[in-house]
Amino acid sequence: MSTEKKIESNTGSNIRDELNEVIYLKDVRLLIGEYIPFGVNHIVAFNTKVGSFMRVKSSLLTQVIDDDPGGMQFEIPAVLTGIQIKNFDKNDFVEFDAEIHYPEAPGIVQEEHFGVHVNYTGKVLYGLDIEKICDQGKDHVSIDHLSRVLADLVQDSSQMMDTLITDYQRKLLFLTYFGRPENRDKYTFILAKDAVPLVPAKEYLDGEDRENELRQVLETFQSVHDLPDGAKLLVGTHGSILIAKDPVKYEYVATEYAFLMSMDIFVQNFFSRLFMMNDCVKDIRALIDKSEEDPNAVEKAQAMLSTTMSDAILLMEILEYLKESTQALNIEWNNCDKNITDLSVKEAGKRLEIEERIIAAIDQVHDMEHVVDGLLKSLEGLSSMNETINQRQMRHFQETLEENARISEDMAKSGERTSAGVEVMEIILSGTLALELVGLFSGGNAYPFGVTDGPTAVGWAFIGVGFWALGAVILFKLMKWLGDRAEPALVVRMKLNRKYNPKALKEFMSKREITTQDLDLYGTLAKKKIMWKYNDNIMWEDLKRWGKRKVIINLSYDENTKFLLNANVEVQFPGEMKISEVKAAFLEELIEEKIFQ
Amino acid sequence: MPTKDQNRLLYLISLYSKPSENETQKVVWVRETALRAFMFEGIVKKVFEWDYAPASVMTADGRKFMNISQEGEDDINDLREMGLMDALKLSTSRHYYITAYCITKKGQTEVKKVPKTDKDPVDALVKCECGGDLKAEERDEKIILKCDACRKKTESGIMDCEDVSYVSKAYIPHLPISARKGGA
Repeated sequence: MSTEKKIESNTGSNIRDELNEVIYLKDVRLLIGEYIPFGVNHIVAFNTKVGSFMRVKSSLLTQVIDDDPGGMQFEIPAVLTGIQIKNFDKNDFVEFDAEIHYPEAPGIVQEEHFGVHVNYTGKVLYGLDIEKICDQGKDHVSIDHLSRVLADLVQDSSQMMDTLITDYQRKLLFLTYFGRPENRDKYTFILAKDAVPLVPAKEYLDGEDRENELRQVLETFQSVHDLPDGAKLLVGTHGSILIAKDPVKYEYVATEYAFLMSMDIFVQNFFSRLFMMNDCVKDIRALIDKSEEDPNAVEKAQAMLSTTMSDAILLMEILEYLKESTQALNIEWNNCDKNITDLSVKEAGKRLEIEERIIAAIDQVHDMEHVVDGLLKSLEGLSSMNETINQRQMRHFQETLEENARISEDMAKSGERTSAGVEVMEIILSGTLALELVGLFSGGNAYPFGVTDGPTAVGWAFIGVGFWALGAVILFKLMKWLGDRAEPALVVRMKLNRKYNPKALKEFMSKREITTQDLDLYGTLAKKKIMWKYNDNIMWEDLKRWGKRKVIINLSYDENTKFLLNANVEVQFPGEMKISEVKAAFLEELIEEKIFQ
Repeated sequence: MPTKDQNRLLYLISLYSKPSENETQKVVWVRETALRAFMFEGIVKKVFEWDYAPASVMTADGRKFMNISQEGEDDINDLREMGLMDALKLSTSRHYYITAYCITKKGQTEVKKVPKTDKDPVDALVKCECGGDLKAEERDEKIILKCDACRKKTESGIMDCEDVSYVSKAYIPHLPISARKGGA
């Protein structure tokens, strides 16, 4: 006889679909497991953060980071999570009740309270009793509704835990879950006192409505069992259900299984991450192989190598935590299993294959040690290869540099010789010009200006040579003065390395005539270089900071990271402004335009 | 004999997949997430008479909660058992396994028998207002239904998990003393 019926009321939900209810549970307790890498130090830090050592053992939590801890007051949105410490051991565990009020859709009211157990092996368990879903009480918990509650709990518990764990742990979760730790999955064990319809376990596997409905919370069925005390155990890949008159006695087995399965989820993600890093190793090797063809290959390989190496070290650390956790779990289970006297509970433990799963987890971790070890060795090998190629390239570079320096030296010597020759020619020519001018104005004969009783021809010749020497000196000095005028001005180079405001910089640039712009794109870097000038026109302005001088400014910045990198300021008439004045004038200009963040 | 929903599902799969006719021709597969998006949209538009509920499933971008129809998944398995469609497991660049589906030649024969009354609602589901064909793609953590003809894009509601009001009471399970302190 089918018990299928339409759920008539979805009051207090935003479900768009008409739900067909086939099974419902009574007095539901949810135990959700999760593995987070923890150690004794993390538990101490965790206890400190949740305020276990304080006299008043309740506190509110927020995800807001205080970026001005020295200030007096601050304003933040309404606090959404409150916790109450129930029990703790400084180095071992902490248990607390959490109350969550995250924003929900209009019309949705959630009074989300759950108990949390965290211990140094990384075991995190969330426990809660369902009191009411929509307008139905705890004696009528629809699987359709329960699946939605579970989705909400899994996500909200991740959000809450992320506010409590350390930055280091967040980093480990970020790495393992491919940068999406907020979507991490958890395993749920559902304990219920009764189910409608209550049928032999195998009848839930009907391949039709019942099975489909239960799969909403269990995913794929793994096995179903009837236990000696009449309890029904339905095991799935994503959750399990145990229906028993006295579900409390199964609690330890249920929590152990939920945690083991959650650890399995973590290990699966960890394993995928390992393989992904092996792909990175292949990519790095390919880059190193083409280092002779691609000029950027070595640099790219170096960047990838550095990231992959640091990730591999973190994976090794995670593995150590996993190793400690599985070993502790094994000892714990062996000790507890001996003390389980109830036949049905013992049977449940056996059916859930807890012991086998713990041993498999230990083996998995042991196996992964080899993979991580191999990965680290490959990375070390690649690092040496890259280093060798780097050194080879540096040697080539140095040889080229030395060759260029030799050529430059030869050219400089040759230039010096030519320059000396040119200078001698200049002096001779300028003297000759002076002599020619004297000759031109004096009549150019033996008695210039018609003076016959003056100096002799030889005397006039000496006077001519004197004019020749004087003309040469004047012309030489004039050339030197002109040369000095043409020399570039005072050049000040500044390293800025400060975050800039893109909007303000854009506005700043729009007010200036940018003469050149260069953009170097490489990987995540987008280095831009701009140049502008002041007083480059015929009419010179009297500028506030620069006066009537010609100023050329080159500014480099990274468009991606939003950092000003460096600046070169050239000011005409060196000697008129000090280096410190040039620097101050330029920085004041940037500050006035609110360029720095 | 396939049910009405199975007929419609088979027809939907036939629109997005194609077995090869000869050795040189490539097989066209439809990815599981894209198919699930159309299955969900089909439930909302009453093309399929299934239920859906949020479930954590593997996508190209890792695990995510999506509105999944277990009856729909069951019908996929039934169609596979009938030999009307094939499933292919393939690894993503992140080393997850995802599934893709393709109608078989037997399925192509079967699809010819699907009545027009079942084909029309599916056609309405996969056609854009402009008459072009809709495609479901997973981009930037969203499932986008896009039309290549008019370039119109709409976001599928498959990721939009519904909320229910509920009241829960905190419970801390009784656990043994840790192994570090001598076990239970």
